[in-house]
Amino acid sequence: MILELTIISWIIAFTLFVAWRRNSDPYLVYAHLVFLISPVLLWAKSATCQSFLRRMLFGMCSMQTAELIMYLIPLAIIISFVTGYFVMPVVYKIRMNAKYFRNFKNVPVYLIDSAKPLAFAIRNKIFISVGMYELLTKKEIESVLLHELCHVKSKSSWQRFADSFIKIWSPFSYFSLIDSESKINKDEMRADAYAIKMQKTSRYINSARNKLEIYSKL
Amino acid sequence: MKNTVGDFKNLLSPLEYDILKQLWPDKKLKVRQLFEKLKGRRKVALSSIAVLCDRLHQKGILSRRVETARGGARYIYFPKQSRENFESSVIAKAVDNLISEYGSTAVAYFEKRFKRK
Repeated sequence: MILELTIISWIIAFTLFVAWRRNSDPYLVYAHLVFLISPVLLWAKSATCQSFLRRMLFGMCSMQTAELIMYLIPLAIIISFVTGYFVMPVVYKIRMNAKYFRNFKNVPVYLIDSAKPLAFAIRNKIFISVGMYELLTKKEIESVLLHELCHVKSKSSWQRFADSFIKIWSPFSYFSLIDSESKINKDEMRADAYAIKMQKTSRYINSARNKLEIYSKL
Repeated sequence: MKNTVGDFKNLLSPLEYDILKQLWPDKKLKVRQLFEKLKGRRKVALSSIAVLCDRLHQKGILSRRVETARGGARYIYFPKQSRENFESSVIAKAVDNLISEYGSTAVAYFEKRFKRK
């Protein structure tokens, strides 16, 4: 019975993985992981699995501990999700010394106390540094904020988090080439296109990029 | 030894010194204001001034605070010490470095030099 359920669960997980490769929906990543890991909870109770784990650990643990270790696998995934998605942005905000600054088209903008020109979006928040304001003109800053606004609207950080999550936890990802870089590049190009569309000119986003490139060489 | 004579020579670059010279009389300036003052005298970019001000802040020579207005944000830089205090602290550091590097030879040289004067 356990074997049949495991096979069915993994077939569903594989189908979800293929579907994710096609349309990159982050929710498919989590559904994939649920179906991939849930058989572990069934195996935890089985004596065969417990004795196998004991043999793997050279008999260093009891059967109860082996069962507990099996429960730790899904628990580790849940903890890494909660830490990565909910706790890390808060830690990041504190570490970057970012404070609420203003709203930009109903999205909160946080100001980072750094002279380095930085701008990024995490979940529904935009972070921008004082250094960015010093280096760029008003129109260029607007283009950078529009670029980040596009990331907020398209839930880029949610997608990038799902990508890194599947790379760590799913064994399928080891056998499949996940080209995150080209995905990120496409995402950046889409955000640039949004800024150009809203400003009706590519002048400001291009000059902002040039200035940031010069700064990075200093 | 951490601070050598060689390190002291690299304490400030010519442009960093120019920035400091601008800040001493006016006290508090933004990067853009510094750029406006310096661009007539030497070929310099706004980004270079921003980077050097940040380095001076990291070295503990300049202080800064964030000023937010009309939707923008800027750093206002100001020196931590007056020109006289800064120069005397630099001289003290140089003399300390020489004494720790050359010991009694440096002390003997100073004695000889000041006697001659």
